Amino acid sequence: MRLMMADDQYMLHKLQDNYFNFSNEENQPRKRADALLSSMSQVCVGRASNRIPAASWDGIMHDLMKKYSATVDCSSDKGVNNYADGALALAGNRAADSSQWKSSLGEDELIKAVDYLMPHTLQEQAKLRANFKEALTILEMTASSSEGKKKNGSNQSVSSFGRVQGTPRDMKQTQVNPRRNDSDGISRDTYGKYPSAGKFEANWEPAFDRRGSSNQGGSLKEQLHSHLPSSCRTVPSRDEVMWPEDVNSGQGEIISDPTAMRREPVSHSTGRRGVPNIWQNQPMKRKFNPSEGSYLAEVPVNKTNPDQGQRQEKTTESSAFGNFKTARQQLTINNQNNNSRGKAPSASSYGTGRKVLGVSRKGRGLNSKFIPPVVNDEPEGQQRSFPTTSSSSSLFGKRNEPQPQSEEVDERLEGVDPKMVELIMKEIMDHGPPIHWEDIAGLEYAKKTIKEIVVWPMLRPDIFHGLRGPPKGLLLFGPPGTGKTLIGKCIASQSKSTFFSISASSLTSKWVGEGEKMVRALFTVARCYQPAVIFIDEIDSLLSQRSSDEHESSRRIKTEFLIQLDGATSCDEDRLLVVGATNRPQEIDEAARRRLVKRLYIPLPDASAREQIILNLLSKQGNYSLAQNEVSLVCQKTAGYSGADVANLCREAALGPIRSIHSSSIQHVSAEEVRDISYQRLPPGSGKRQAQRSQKDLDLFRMEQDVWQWEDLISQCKDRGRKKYSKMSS
Amino acid sequence: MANQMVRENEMVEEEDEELGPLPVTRLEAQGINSNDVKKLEEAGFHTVESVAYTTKKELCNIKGISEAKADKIQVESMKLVPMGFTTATQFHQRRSEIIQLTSGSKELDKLLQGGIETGSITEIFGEFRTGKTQLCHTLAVTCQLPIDNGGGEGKCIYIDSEGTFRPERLLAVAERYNLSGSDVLDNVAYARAYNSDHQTQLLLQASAMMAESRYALIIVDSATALYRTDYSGRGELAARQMHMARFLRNLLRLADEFGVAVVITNQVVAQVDGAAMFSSDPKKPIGGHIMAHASTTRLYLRKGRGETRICKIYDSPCLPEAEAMFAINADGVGDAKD
Repeated sequence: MRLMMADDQYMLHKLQDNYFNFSNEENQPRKRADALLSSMSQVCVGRASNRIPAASWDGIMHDLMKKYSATVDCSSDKGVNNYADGALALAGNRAADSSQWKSSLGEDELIKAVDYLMPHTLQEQAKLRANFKEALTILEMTASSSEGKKKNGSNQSVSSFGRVQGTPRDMKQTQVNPRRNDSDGISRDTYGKYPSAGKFEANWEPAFDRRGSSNQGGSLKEQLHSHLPSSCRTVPSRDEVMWPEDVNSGQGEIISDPTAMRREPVSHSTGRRGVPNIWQNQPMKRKFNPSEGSYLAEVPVNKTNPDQGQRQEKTTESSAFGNFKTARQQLTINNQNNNSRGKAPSASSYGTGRKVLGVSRKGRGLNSKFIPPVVNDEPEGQQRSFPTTSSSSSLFGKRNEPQPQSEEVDERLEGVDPKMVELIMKEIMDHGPPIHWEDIAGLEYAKKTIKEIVVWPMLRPDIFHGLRGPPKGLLLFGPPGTGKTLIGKCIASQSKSTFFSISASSLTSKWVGEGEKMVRALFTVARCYQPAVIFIDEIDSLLSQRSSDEHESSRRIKTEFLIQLDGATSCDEDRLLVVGATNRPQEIDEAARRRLVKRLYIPLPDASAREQIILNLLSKQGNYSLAQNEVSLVCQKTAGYSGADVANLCREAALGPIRSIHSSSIQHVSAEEVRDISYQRLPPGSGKRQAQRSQKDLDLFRMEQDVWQWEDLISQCKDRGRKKYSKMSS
Repeated sequence: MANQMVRENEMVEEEDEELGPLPVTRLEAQGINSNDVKKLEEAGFHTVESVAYTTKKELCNIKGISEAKADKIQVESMKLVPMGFTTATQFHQRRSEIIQLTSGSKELDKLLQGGIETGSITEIFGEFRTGKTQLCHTLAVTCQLPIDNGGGEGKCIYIDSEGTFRPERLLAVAERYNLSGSDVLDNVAYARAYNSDHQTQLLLQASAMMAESRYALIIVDSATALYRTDYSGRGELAARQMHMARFLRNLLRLADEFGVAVVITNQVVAQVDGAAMFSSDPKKPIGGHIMAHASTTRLYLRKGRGETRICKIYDSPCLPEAEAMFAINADGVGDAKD
């Protein structure tokens, strides 16, 4: 009696414990399922020992079963399908073959559970089993009544399908039955070692194959329903692994050696996998080709019994899309195949396959709707919006690159060939080395004037308007190598305007008439992008004197240029500056010269400028040893040199130390060992250098050492022109 | 969030019902017993169209449906599905709205005047290594593109009888179109066919799946490989051809019911008899007249230089006989680079 009391207390305690475990939502579903199972078995034990009245028993049991199946079959990712199946797979040494998982909990498990809890005497065992069977019947009845009319064709089809498939195996079952009954009669120990492996698989085969689409809550009931006649099976199996500890604590020896159980040969084999040894020899195939396996399993039925085959065909089609899987699942399987190839199969590698397949559950199955496979970084709300015409462009994102800005000023560019516009756009210089005003040695007057014309109006457009407005044209002239082009570059980098660097090549064309259109396009684009600077190096090539014997097209380019520079269409408010550089100013057309209002003479560098150039260049090179007087000596000797000449001199001098190194050792000498650039290197260089100008040029430039003299030259030219005109008129 | 998703799905469903095929449950509203509707579903009739298009004999074969009931069902379904005469104008209008799936190659699309036509069977045949399977893989992805981009905005069913399906290829093609790889794979339902019976049975499953969500394309690669070995010799020729005709008829039924494009591949046989001496290209598609009549458009592929392939229109109701060159690139079928 006291023993009973203690048992009661223990049981109550256990039940409470379990109740808390499974009712706590925060627990892992796996744990909750365990707790539910455990309490179910506790209730069964309670019923068996008459502690729980029969009236409340089926209510409780029904409740628990419902909860359990809800936990296990929960379709969200909380479900423990993977857990149960993984354990099953481990136990069955085989992977489940379908992503459509169906509850593993059948009446077999329940009976097994009861078996483990069973009292050791056979009478009790029998009694308990009878009780349980009765309970199952009740349960089934209640379930079916509660389902009522909802139990429709699909349910029936499943069950009938089960029957069809199960038939041969059921026969097998009956074959085995006597033997099992024998073993029932023997002691508990031998019972534990009952050779169950083969039979267990035979039992479970239909369950796996049948796992179709209907895997929701009703599955448990269906299984119970379809298997009820043979529900008396008491098969201990390796399933114990999944039972909670408290249930099988007494049967340690059974669990401890599952292989021993398994290895017992079973001779009742008639079917394909009747012999467990064969089965165990080919586990790989079974596991990795689930579709093949499941299909092969059906083929024999087809062949042996055409009638059944026909029926089966009819039922399968409604029950599942069993043979189809999504390409993603197929990829997973392929990968699995590749990964595990060459590895020796081990027992532990069997359960894991399920887990990988389990990933696909989170993805969409075959039944899902079509989801547009668009990659979009849109916010969550629009994630699944169907691609429309507008978003279809984002589908091919690379296709629509940002359009150039010219779009917005398109109206002004109308009438201009877009190809030309594109060509002109390429002439816009927005790169190159940054050059500062300090980099230009000397030429203070020129620099000041250019700043006045270019930079300040940029900074204060409100002051520089009207009479103070910047001129439209600027001509830089002077002997070659004095830094006209450098000034151009400096304007490009210092003025914050659009800088077009134009040469004859960018305006002329092989087609007659294209050249002037190009000029027009240039000015149109420049007006669109004002403030703009158009820099024309060697402007004499483009705007040379118009003469009667020149080609018509080049003349037209010139006239177009003149018109655009200052013609009827141009407007005073255009912030457009044309900078021309030349060393043959006398060859420029008078009309062009008139339009280049500001004319700056860029003279040869004087002594201080030369010194600045030399020091600049040498300090950039790094190592030089030059005393102050040596520098001034060099400057003195290089009188008449242009900036470029001085630079060349320095270049030559810098190579001097290198030349003194023996040619064989040039490969090994380190950069630090090269001797400094010294004065001894400079004078011979300076002697070698020749002024690169022709005598005529020198005369010309010497003659016009200042701007005013140049103005005289211009007036002379004008006179010459006038004479020409008067000659023509007379 | 989840609720929202569900609601969206429902909305999509409603739209689908308006546009796509009518589910067979619609017959319940017409006064057909729901049990009978269930029976129809079990027998593989998932849409009202399928019921309307089938013969009375087949309906009577369903267990539990008497002749009188079959009559009634068919009358009701015909009320829902227009099956009478229309004017050529209307039909022309409908034809012009037909979706065409791009093949991935501009040249090939031009040859096909838009691409693979939906609602009909397109047969691709040629020797091995002529790009049949590659074309199938590309189509399995392009059918998921938006309609404006030459797709069908639907899923794809891929029945593979040669074991040549490679999801990696789909990923490569998906990358080319800048699509999400995992979604693309999820949208392709793949099944391996193991014998000719199974292949036919898969179509029944396919029809069930297609009734549930929007599909744009069925690919059978290859349709004839299994027949070649399952039936051998002249003795079984009649049985083989009958079986194949049934299979192709089922495919055509799916194309009619769901408006999907059906692409099947076919193998070739060398003509070794005397007549072959005189023809330069002694290869013929297998399947005989049954195959020839069943497929609406027949494309003959042959290998060109390098990765280029040449496609020739072998038979078509409206396309002129012409050839086009395409290439098999790393990212699926594309234009040949010259």
